[in-house]
Amino acid sequence: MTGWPSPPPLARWLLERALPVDVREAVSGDLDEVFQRDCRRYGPGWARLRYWRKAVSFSRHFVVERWRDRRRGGVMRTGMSWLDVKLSLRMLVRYPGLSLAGGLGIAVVIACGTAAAVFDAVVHGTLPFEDGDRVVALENWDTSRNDPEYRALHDFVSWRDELRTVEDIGAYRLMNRNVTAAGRSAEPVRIAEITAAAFQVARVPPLVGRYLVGEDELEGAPPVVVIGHDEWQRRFAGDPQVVGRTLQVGDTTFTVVGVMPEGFGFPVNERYWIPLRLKPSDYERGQGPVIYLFGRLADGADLGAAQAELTVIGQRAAVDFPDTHARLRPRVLPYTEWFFAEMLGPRDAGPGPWLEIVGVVRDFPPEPMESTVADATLYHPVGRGDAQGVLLAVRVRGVAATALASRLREIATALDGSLQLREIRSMDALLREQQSELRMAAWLSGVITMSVLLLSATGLYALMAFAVVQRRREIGIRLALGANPRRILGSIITRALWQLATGIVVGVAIAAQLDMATEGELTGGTGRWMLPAVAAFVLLVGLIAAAGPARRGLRLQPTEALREE
Amino acid sequence: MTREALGEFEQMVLLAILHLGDGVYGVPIVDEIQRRTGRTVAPAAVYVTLRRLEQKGLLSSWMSDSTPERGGKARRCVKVTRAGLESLRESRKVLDRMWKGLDPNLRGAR
Repeated sequence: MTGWPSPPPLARWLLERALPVDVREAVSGDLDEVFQRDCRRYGPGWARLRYWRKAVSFSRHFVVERWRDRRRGGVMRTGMSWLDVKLSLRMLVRYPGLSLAGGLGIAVVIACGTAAAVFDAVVHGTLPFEDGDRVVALENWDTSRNDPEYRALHDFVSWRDELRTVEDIGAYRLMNRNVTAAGRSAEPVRIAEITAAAFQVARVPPLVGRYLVGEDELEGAPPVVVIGHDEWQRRFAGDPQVVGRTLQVGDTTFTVVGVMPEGFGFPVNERYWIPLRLKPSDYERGQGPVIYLFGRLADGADLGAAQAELTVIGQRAAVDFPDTHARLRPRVLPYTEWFFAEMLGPRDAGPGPWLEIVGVVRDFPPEPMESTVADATLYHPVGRGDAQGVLLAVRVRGVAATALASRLREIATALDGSLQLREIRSMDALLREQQSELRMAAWLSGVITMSVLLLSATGLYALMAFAVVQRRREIGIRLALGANPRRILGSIITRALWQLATGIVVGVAIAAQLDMATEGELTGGTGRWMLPAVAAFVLLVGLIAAAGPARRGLRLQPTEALREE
Repeated sequence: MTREALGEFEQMVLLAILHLGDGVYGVPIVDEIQRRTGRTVAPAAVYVTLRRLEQKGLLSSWMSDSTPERGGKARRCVKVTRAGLESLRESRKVLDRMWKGLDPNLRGAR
């Protein structure tokens, strides 16, 4: 395999355990082949993610198939009999502690597995449109920064004109603006500035009026807006004659031309769509605003074909425009996968400009719940357009803070139509919200910790109890030979203590080393009492697990113990 | 002997193999089904179906040479058996009989 990247070993191990012997080599080999293909198309990171997905899917399908086989053939076909089933049930009842520990362990594993499956379904889900899985995202991958390059206005035009495997290619960018309807105060909302292609990609017809069309994107065309169902109900009381009414978006008046049906929210979850009007000739290649591109796979085309075509176009651009495109690798991804990667992966903004030190101040917390001993911080003026959102603190006198909300918004809109104030709250409310978030984070962290501890404890209990149960025959013989039951119990507990002590010493030593290596990060600085507490807990669980079955074993008649199994 | 009816997905897999020719293996079969149907199919479902069709005697398979790209593992090549062809014909006939007398575009039907 030298020279070929390898699939994730754990995923492969899982797969090979789940596959039936007769197809194991062939299926595993096919997936290796697909993995190599994915490496070439999407890079090793994505290829590994896709391999994991396939490994889980194959494991699930073949396990279900095996279960179906058994159901079709009945238990007799597998060599089992109902006697075996009854015997296994009897054993479960006979060793309730062991059964409970095993059952609890499985329950925790299932809960974790379900959570992972839900996460997988969310991340790898499809858009709720007709053939939503054929909607794709297009982007330039900057190999020098190892990050996407979204200033792609010129590429957008060239891809839209040249690509045949992806159709209805469109672009959007998101912005926050104050929206004002007649007789109502300004309200900040997120707006999608988007090309008309979005509605062709979604294939969802408007509920009222029309959606955006190509002519709306032309310079000089009247400003129009399409609104979502909820906004139609809320701002216009579901008026069927809403087409032609106006909305103030920032400092521009837009005419409503259509309403989209309930639940429609492309590209993310917007409720206002205005035409994207950008002229590539206004910008140098590689410059211009950040835009996000999408499209739909043409009939008969798949991701592989689209990527191949896009790669050819990218190679040509790299030759024609080496300064800007030599380091760019265009790629096509399923839209939902791209969306979550974009959402989860923070973008590296690159080095900022040099700043001159003009003074030194005491550190102070930027928000109420932040520590008063803040990390080293630079304070510098916010330039126009530098920040997406800032926290503005205003001291009011005489009236409740929230009563000034609409007045503050009016002042902001009067200053600049694109300015928007949202979530105007008192500092008390902000403090309560942050405390509540912290409590939620602490609760979640506690649940995860408890799950891990419970899983470990059940595993330990099962292991210790099983080790003692295995000695029941020996216990029976010793009892039959007249041994003192207290001495038998003592020997079992002593042996368990040795095993537990060895495990605890090794485990605590490793944990303490790791804690020291991470300067207390592992235990959050609580190592001094946390490690002894965990050791005591493990010791307690282990002793209970050993003592329970041992005491029950001693109550058995020797002849009964000797007859077992 | 009554033969078990073929499911829609089983028919798709058998037809994909016939399109690609004897000696084809799993990866191109998945691609072919996706290409022809325009749908995304779970590759695992295709492999489970291949195994089931072989167990029913509708496919036969043999192992080919291995390649380094596949980690030295062999391919399982398949071909449709005579019984497989017969099953496909029968499935087609049954559907044709059900469609007989109906407008192909189902005009007039609710």
